[in-house]
Amino acid sequence: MKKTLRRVWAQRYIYILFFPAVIFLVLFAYAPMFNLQTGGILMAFTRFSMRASNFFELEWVGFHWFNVLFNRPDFLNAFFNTLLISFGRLLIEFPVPIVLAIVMNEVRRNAPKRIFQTIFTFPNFLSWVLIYAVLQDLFQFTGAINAVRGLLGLDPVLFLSHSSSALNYGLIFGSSIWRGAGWGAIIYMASITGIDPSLYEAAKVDGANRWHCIRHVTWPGIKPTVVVLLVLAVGNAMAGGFDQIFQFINAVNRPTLEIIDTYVFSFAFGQGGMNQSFAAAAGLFQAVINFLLLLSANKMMKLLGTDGLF
Amino acid sequence: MRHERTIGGTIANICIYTFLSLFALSIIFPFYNMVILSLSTFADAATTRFVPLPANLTFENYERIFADPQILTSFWISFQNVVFGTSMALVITVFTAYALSRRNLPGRKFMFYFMVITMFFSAGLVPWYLVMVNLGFVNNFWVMTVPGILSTFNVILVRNYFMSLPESIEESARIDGAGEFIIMWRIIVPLSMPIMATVALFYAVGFWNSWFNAMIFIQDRSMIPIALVLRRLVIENSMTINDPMGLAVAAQLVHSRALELATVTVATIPILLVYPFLQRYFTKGIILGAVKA
Repeated sequence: MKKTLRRVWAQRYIYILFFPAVIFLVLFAYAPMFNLQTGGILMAFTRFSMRASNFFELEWVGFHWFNVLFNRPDFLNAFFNTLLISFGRLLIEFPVPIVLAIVMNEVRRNAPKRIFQTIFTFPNFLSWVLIYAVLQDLFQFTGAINAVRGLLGLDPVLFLSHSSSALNYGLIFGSSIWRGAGWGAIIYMASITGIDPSLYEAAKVDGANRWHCIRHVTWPGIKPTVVVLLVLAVGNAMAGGFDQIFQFINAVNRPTLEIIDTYVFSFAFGQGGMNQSFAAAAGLFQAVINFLLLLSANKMMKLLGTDGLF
Repeated sequence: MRHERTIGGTIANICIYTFLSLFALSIIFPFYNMVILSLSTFADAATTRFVPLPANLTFENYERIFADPQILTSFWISFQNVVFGTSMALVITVFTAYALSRRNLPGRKFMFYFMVITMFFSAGLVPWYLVMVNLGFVNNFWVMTVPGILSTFNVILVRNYFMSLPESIEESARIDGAGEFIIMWRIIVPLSMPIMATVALFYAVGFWNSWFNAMIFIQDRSMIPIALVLRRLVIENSMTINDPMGLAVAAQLVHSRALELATVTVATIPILLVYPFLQRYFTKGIILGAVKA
């Protein structure tokens, strides 16, 4: 005990360095969760009012708002869309950076490799607002894509305000891959460079071709990274991508693109009829599902014999 | 023995280069098209779909942007956000990462989880909003930077990089009598330039691109950043531009369209300028920072 205290005292300046982070996290992460004035996460179980001066003056309604949520078709629709989009992202978007990294690794010359990498990672640094503006330019009624369709004798399509779910999800997944695949590939390329080159030499001596090398050297080499990122992706699945969808959503495609995040937003800030407790309940529901997904993904990875995340 | 010499290897190489070139082209083309249209007159932008060069080159759209006081103000606000935000963020991130990188610090595990949990569980929008209101962030310039100066993800990247540095360097400094602060600022940080550049870029781009906090907390138009101006231009126009029924006002819309694209181009340029210089650090920074997250 005394020894520990001495070690704490010896490193007191280190704790001082950590102190700003504590203040930051308490103010912006923990105060919203645990709060005597608004109730924090407990707000979802009350009838919140700005007039109440503290949590104990709020009317406790138990699971009332959750009941309301699950009886509202628009919430169920948002929930369903969130699941659909999230699983779509895991299935369609997640593997692309892995493939891209492996293909880019097959480029042996350094100069083209660097040029490709520079181009591929660039869109990731632009906000979705910018990306949407750029895409709008291509996909609008008089845009380049419709011009090509015109040359092929096809009718123009209102891509960005269309009620077709396949079209909307295609745009969401496609633009997300377009923006993020190059960036996502960097981390896999980093772990490929960590593979011992002698493994490739040995495989070649044994007569392995390129495909064999990818299959039996590269893939096992990046698998641990894939696992970690997969757990993180599953744990973030319910997030659905507010930044992106908030730009794409409009009155026409709202039924297919409404996710819990956009739903919460519209109830928190008025468009859907202001109701903070209701919005808080929807948000809490999402956060809890998200956390459970993360824990179960982590557990599953452990059961499959890999390290997992924690 | 290189596989590339065989016929199969050549075909494979052709496929690889074709695939990668097409993907690269799909990224370059939209931006190219955007720049061309932003350099076109209203009339040309209305009729042309895509051309290699503008029919009548004009800088009128750019002149109009830089004559607009709102856009100039917003650029200035965004610039301030990037400068103040990134400098505060780098200091607090380095402090935090350095503390978490100490191998024999009592309680470091608790400190780490205290931080990481916030990455996976949050109170949600509404409770967060109410706290922000109570903290006085409504219509406050700092709402665009202060809540973003500590990213857990970036802290983990920097911490892992610090931990990858050999301990012997630090020990010899300690024997020479250097204090914690000197060790951190004079030894560890200068040795970690790749990750510093990477993280600085993440923060700077994040502040440049952020619009959400400004949208919900800032009403004063003289304080909105360029990202929010863009959102208002792009999203508010989008419904009418995509609407064939709106053709009655087409002339005016095309006018604003060319302007809009010029604004988008101008907002992209700062990122385009800093990005290639910092890009070479990414892989290096990420290898050491992220592999064991």
